[in-house]
Amino acid sequence: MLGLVLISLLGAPAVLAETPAEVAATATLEQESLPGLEARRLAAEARSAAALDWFAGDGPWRGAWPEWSHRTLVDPAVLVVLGADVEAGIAARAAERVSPPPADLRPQQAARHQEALARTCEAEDARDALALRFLGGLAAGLAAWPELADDALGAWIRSRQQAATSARELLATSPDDEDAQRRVAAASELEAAHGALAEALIARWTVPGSDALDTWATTTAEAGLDAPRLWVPVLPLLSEARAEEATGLLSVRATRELAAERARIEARIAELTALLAHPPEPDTQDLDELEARAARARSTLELAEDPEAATPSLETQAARLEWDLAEAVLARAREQAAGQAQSHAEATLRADEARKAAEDAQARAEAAGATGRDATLERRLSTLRDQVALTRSTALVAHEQAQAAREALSQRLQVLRAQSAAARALPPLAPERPGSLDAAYREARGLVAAVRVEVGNRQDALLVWRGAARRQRADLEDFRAVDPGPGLAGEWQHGAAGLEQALEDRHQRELADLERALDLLARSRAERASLERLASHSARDEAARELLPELQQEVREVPIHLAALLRRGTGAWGYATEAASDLGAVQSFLANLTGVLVVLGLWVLVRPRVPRLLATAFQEARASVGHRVRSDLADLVPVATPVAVTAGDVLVLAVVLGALGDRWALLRLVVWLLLARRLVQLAPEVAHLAVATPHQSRPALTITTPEVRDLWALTARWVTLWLTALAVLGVAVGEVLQAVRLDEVVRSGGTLAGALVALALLWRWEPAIAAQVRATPEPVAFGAWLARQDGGATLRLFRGSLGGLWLAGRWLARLLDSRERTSWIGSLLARRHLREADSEVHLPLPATALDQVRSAKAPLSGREGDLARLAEQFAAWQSDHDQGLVAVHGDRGSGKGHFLRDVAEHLPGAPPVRRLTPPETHLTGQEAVAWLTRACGGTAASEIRPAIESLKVLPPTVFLLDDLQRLLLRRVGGFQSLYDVLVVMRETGGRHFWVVTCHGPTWNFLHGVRDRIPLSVFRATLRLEPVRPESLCAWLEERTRAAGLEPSYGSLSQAGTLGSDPALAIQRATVAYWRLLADFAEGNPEVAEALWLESLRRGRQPGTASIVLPVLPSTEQIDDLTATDLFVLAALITHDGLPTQALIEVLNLSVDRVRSACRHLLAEGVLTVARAGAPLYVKPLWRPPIHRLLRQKHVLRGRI
Amino acid sequence: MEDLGHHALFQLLVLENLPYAVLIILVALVSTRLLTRSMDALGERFTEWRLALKQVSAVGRFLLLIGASVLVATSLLHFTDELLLATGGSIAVALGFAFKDVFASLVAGLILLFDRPFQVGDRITFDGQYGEVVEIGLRTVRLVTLDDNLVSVPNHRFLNDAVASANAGALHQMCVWDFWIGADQDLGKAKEIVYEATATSNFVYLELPVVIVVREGPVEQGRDRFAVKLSSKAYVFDGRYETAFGTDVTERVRRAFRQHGIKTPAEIPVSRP
Repeated sequence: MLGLVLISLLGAPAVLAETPAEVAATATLEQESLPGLEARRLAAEARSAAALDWFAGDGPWRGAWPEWSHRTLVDPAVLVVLGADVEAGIAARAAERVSPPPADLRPQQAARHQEALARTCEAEDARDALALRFLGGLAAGLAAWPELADDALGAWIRSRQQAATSARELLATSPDDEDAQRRVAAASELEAAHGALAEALIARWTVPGSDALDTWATTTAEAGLDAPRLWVPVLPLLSEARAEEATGLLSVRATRELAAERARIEARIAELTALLAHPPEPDTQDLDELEARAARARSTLELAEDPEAATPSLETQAARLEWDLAEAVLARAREQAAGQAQSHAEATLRADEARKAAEDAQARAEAAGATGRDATLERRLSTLRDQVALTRSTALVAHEQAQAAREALSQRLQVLRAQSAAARALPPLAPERPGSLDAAYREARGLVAAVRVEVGNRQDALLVWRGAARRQRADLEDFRAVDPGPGLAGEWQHGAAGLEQALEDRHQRELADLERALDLLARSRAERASLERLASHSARDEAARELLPELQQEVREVPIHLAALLRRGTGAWGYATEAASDLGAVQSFLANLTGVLVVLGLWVLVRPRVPRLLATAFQEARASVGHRVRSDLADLVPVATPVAVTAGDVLVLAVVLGALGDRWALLRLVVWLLLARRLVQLAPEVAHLAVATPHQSRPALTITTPEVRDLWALTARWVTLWLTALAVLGVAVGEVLQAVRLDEVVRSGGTLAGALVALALLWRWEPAIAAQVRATPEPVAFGAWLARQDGGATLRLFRGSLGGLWLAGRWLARLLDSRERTSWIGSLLARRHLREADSEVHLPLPATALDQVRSAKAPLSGREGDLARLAEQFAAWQSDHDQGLVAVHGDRGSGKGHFLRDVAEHLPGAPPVRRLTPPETHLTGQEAVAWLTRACGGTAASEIRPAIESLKVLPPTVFLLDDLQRLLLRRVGGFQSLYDVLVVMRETGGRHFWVVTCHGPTWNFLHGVRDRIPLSVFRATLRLEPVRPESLCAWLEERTRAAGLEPSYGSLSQAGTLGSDPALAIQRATVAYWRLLADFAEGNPEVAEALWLESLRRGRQPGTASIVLPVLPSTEQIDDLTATDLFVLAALITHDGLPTQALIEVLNLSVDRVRSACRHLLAEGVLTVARAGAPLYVKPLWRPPIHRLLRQKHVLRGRI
Repeated sequence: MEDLGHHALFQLLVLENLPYAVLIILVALVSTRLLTRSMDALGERFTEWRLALKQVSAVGRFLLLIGASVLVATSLLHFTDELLLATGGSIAVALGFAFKDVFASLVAGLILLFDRPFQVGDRITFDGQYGEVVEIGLRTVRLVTLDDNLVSVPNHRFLNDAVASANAGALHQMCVWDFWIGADQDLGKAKEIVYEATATSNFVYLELPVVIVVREGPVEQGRDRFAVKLSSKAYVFDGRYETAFGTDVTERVRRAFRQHGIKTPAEIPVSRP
């Protein structure tokens, strides 16, 4: 053992002796530095462990950072400060790491120190890194949702706490106050929830996967906290399930709050309605504030109003009531202020002054003693001043009485308006609504009566005062006549002027009171009128019982209103003189005046020149219209001149009327009267112009007779007079005099006068109507009765009115018939009268009989008008020898050939007539020209120029060229022959007169290709109008009779079915048959003939033919035609028949398609052909439906 | 939440109204079919009203289908305030995203029907496609091209892109046919021929004028030739016959050109120095 000790001692290193400093340093190290560093390290590691626990979701964050327990960590500013602290610690440690070890330590000791220091620093760095992570998470969360920061959400919570402070203070004195307790508890709950929210947010933003916020949401929701301000910012952070729950919670609250808000608005509406009934006493000193309040209420209403809403919302209703109340208070305040300003301030002061002056004068008189004249004068002066004081004080008393009465009535009007508004606001079907409206109406009537009494009082007071004033003015004149001497002259004059002024003031005050009463009366009447429309019949009946007294009252009030009108008129002049200093008003006046003066000046210049100007204008118009009817427009000048002059007068008066403002009521009335007078003059002149016939010598244009024209003018004059009188009286009575009942009487009188005017006019019209009824072609028993002129005046008037209606009905029927789209109505009505044929009873006529009818001749009337027009053109050509070409077109079978045949007889003084017809085959251009020259009798020439020369050497002739359409073939090159012939005709139109007939559809086609074919070469174009049913009837019946058959219409009539007169029924059936026939044939004689032949049946007796309804082609057959069929039909109709080969050329279709279509149409019976290779035609009976079909499908051009 | 969902679902559906809803759907389908057929038949009978009747048919069909959808929805689905609050937002958003295009097309269809940039029966050009509009449906507009292809275009696309309608609601429409002749040919005769060929065609609509426009310049895509182009501008009486019209006019012109010795640029030999 000893050996071992020795060995160890010998082998041990040599121990150096330590210095005292080293000993001290070592001791410090061992006892202080190293334990300190160790303690710091351990503490840092503990914090880090706690922080890691927090981040892992295990522990509280306060375990890691206890020093932040009392800091608000959801505040960005706090986070910045804390972060700066941590950063500062890290920086300090970085410096500490590199600092030298304490002095005097031996190297081993120093190394130990540095090692311990490094471990400590690392532990603390790790801790601070976790702290920074913590702070960073919070900062990021707040940056993303700043509304959750302390300065937003926290500030709101604090404000709520402050709001609850008063409740807390209240609890200190009244601990049992339940409302205060509830408010404090709510604030505390809110604060606690906010604290919990802050904790949950810290966890949500720093701990991954934390559900603390959801937990908070569940807890808070269970606690019943539903403040939206608390929840809404949190919603985006909650899980979906919790967010839905929270949304539901908020929705329930929103619904509850909406209900509460609705209840509040309803309560407010009720409150406002009550206030409107009794408006609060306004503060007259602060009118500006009241006006501003009314303006605010108006703008609130405008914002709240939804113009598209069917019923106003509660907000709108409340806003309207607020506005009504503000307006009512404002109006009341204005009225009171006006009254106060005049009465109290001014009048009292002046009365006091006058009284004081009177007392002074009396004192001076007493001081002067009974010293003769001076004392007398002083006493008289004193008396005068007493008189002034008395005048002013009585004026004041009277005015205050009037004002009090007016205020009471005004308040009553306000109450009435509130009552009316409440009644109107009731739902339309509410049971109490009629009663409320009736009550309001009765109140309105009572109010009007009360105001009327007040108006009467004011008027009486005014009249009484005027009498008193006259006496006082007489005294005043006496007073002024006295010479008081130089001593009293000043006061004498002053006293007189004072009395004069007092009298004038009193007068103005009485007038103002009367005007205000009238204004109140107008407002009351307006309210009553608006309620009258809503009141029940019984309420109105009650009012009607008081009509007479009210009417009397209104008549008595007329002078009052007239006097007011005069005052306003003179007031307008006063306003004009006052406005002379207002630059804007002067400018506006001058602008108006300039406009009126310019119009007046222009009219003065133009008026005498109107006839010349009209003549020039019509001359220019005539030049643009053409020269065909030379005299028409010129003949209108004498008729149009008075119209233009009077219309100009009316226009100028209207301008003047518009320039006069409302202030110039009297002047306006005068201008109104002048205007009415000119209107009455204008009406007959316009009527005369409207029915004027330009040229009396032209029977074709004579539409009205002079008697009818005079009747029109008379009617226009009287009707206009009645209307203008009614209008002027209505304005005068209703608007100027405001006499509602009188206006009703005037209107009733006006209606009566209108009836009398109508009767008088009817009396004048009756002979003309009877004559016109007699002239109607259709024999109807009723018409014959209408045309009779026997009986008394009443019967004749009755007949006249019925006759007028009858003629109007006929005119309407003709109008419908004349329109292509409405003529079916007439046909439908006519068809009702006809009976279907019985094929077993009515056997067909033998073919020989039908051939006899077909070949029989008879004149066709109804072309006289067309012939007259042609004659007119011929006469015009004879005078100018220019453009002697006239085209006549009409459908196939419309009688063009017959028309040409009749032309020669209707051209008086015509040169020789020659008729030409082109060959059926189509010609080339040269062939056509050659044919023309040959046919006209000239030298044959195939070129245009030689042909023209050839025709020009011929004597003047009227050439009638039939079937112009034969010169056209609708294919490329097919226009040339027509073009060349037209050129030749145009060039020779000065020497010869050409009348050309053309197939209607061809003419329509040519109009579509006007750029290729110059249709403008024709001087005039005549379209053969459809023949009227009467003419067709006469033409065909005559031919039938010529064939030995008497037509009988008995088979068509439905006589006996209703027990009517058989003869009358047959008459009606005959008219209806011809109406239908003409309608189907579209007035075409050839089609009508085919239909007529279809209608003829063997009669019951020899020599008679029964007429039955013809079997018309069935349109169903042509409903399904193919496009090729339609094109074939269109080509045939356009060319008026074509052979197959030409058809193929025209259609540009294959031979097979065209032949197939033709065969199909022949088989259907639509087409007809005389022989193989001959032209194909559409059968007459098929033409109308085929025309309609092709026009409907746009394959054929419409008629021009 | 799941419970709430089930609860909501049972509250939402009113299954006892299912037969009623099926009946509504059947009636609506039959009505639309009847309406379409009757309007088409009337349109064929009254040709000038054809496009108007087609428009009536399109609007009627649209309204019938929308009305039926609303009736079915309101009869089958029962919405309460709570349900609307609980599910309204999310369902609306989900449906909105899912059927965004469908809704856009539906609304666009309504706009097309009432704003009428074109209508059924019009011939339109859209996105390179030219054809006749045969249907404006709930979702798409259908065109039949000249090659008889059926092209469907979503309605909403017509709100953003340009669409050209050749006839704009009228039965007739303008057609332009171009013809070229050599620069040294008889221009006057050629113009006369083109005019007459157009004006005499079976398909021309002569209520409106026929116009011939002449231009001179190099042949399109044509080497180095200089030629005269004659454009015939005329209206066909029914847009359906547009191509037939062109064929007819071209045949007539070609035949007449040959007859009168008028040569097209292709028939004139090129002379080179």
